Amino acid sequence: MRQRRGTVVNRAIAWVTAFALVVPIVVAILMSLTTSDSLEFPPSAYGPRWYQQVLADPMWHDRLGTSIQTGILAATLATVIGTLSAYGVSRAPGRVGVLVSALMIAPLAVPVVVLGTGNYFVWAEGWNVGPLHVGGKLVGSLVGLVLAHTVIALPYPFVTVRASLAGFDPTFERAAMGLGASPVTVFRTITLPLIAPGVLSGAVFAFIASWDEVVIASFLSTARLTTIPVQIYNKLREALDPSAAVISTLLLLMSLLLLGALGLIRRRTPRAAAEAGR
Amino acid sequence: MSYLTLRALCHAYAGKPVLRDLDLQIEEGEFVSLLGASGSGKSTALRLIAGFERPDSGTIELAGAVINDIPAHKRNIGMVFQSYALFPHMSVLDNVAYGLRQRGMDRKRARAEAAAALELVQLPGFEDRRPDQLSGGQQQRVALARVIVIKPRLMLLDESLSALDKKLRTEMQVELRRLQRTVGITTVFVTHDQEEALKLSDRVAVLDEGRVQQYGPPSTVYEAPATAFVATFLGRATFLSGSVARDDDGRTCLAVGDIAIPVQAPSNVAAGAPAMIAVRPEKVRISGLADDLHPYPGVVRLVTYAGGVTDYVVDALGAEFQVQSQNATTKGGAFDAGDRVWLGWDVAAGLVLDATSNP
Repeated sequence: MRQRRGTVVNRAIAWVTAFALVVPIVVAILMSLTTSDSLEFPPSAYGPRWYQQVLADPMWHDRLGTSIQTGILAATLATVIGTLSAYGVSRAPGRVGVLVSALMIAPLAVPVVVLGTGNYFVWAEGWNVGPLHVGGKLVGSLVGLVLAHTVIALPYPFVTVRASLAGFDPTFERAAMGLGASPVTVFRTITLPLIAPGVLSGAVFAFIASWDEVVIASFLSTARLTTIPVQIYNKLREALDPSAAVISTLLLLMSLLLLGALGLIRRRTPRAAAEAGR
Repeated sequence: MSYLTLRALCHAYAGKPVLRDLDLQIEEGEFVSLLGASGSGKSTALRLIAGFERPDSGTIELAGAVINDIPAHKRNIGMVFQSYALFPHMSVLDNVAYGLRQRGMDRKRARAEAAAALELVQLPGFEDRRPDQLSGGQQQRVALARVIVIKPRLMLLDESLSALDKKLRTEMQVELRRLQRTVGITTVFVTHDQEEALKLSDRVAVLDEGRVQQYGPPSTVYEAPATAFVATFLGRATFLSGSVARDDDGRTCLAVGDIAIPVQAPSNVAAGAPAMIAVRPEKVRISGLADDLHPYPGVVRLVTYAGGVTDYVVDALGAEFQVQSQNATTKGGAFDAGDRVWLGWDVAAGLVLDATSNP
């Protein structure tokens, strides 16, 4: 009797939470389908008017281009660095490994506003590290934004590849070496194909991290260089029209697509892991 | 000069020495087993030969050249692992062709030679299968083909048959030996199974505590063990300790209590010196009646029927004797626990060992 009551309470909490999480999204989707001039809920009439407007607007095209460019570049950089670091850490255990792991995961722990502020000052005014001068006059440049986003994206491929490597038998690499493959060739022909699911899912997470990121991007954005999330935020402040809702819905679709891709990658993972474990 | 020479190899893990001055010489085309218990250093020695680690000290010489400084992928030594390590993301043919491709062979020729190697291991038609579609024995053979096809100077096997069930293991042992003889590759085989080592090898190196305790053909290592450790690692034995004495006829004996056991010992051993002999169970004769062939009295403690033989544990001469009797040739049926019996053995069957070595 007590068990059933507990289940009912659990279910109730779950439903309420789901409701609270999903309702704002549903509201945004519904608001995007309005035909009126301003945001209203519930919409008085439904129509694709604002979708047509947004999709034709060159400004949104520009922001989309910026977001995609930044996302792909940052994800690529983060995946390469993250993968190589994870490989290094797995082969060199001990204190060095622990230190590098902590460094790679640190961006998750640092408050994003701190990162944003720091990034702003480095790219805006430059930073002297001994004889090196980093950044300066780079606010509003793609380079600065990509580098900043790479940092926040780093933890994801690092963690996923490290997990992939944990289930990876080093005997495969030894076997390949014994057959005459140099260490680099071994990594390219044996290790990388077998940890590919970890690398790919890390890359997807890294892209999502950059794609959704708004705080650092707003520190580093100018009129010329703006990402989609920053644009939405600006739009919402100046004019509450449904185009913001439309973009949000489109972003949601994009996220769903990426999650779908992740799901496909994950389905390959158990089989690859089982094969690797032989 | 031998083909593979290990000279004074020393190696330690986390401060604990694993190999202590290991010396070994292997001739070209030989099949040598490194036999020992876990921790004896045999797998470590293999890893050092393959080049996955550098020895702390000592040298490894192959065909006259020291190879300590040559990285693993340049040594042209093929290794078969206990887990076979077939690359799961490649087909069987690509697995076997991998080594050839690494040597710069073009794809077509590499695949042709790989297919030939698969025929050699009796797996024709398996080219397009994936490793996870193969049985243990088939994986084993693909792993062998993968190594043989690159024509390495040396083939190393690290307990490669341990993962197979008994029947398959026996088949693979025959297969492996046939293959090795056909191709003629010098082979080093690591195992903890003494029966396997005796069956397969031209010579057996018995390892204990990082050293070679004895190295020789299987019959020598079994019939003439150098130490008590070797005597018990290969087969079983009962040990008798006593002191050297001379009996009434002047023959050298081992005095155990007040019984004199004739032994084959060098005549210059001083009387009264401590000595030890080992007797293999299958060499002990057992009978219900005392006579010249069965002079030593004893009482049966344990009887174990094992199909072709019966194993007895007999209290005799102050020791627990292990006796193995062939059921086909035993007259008068088996004995029961508590029976009074008489034991005996040929003088030559008493293996004289260093009295100071511990079994």
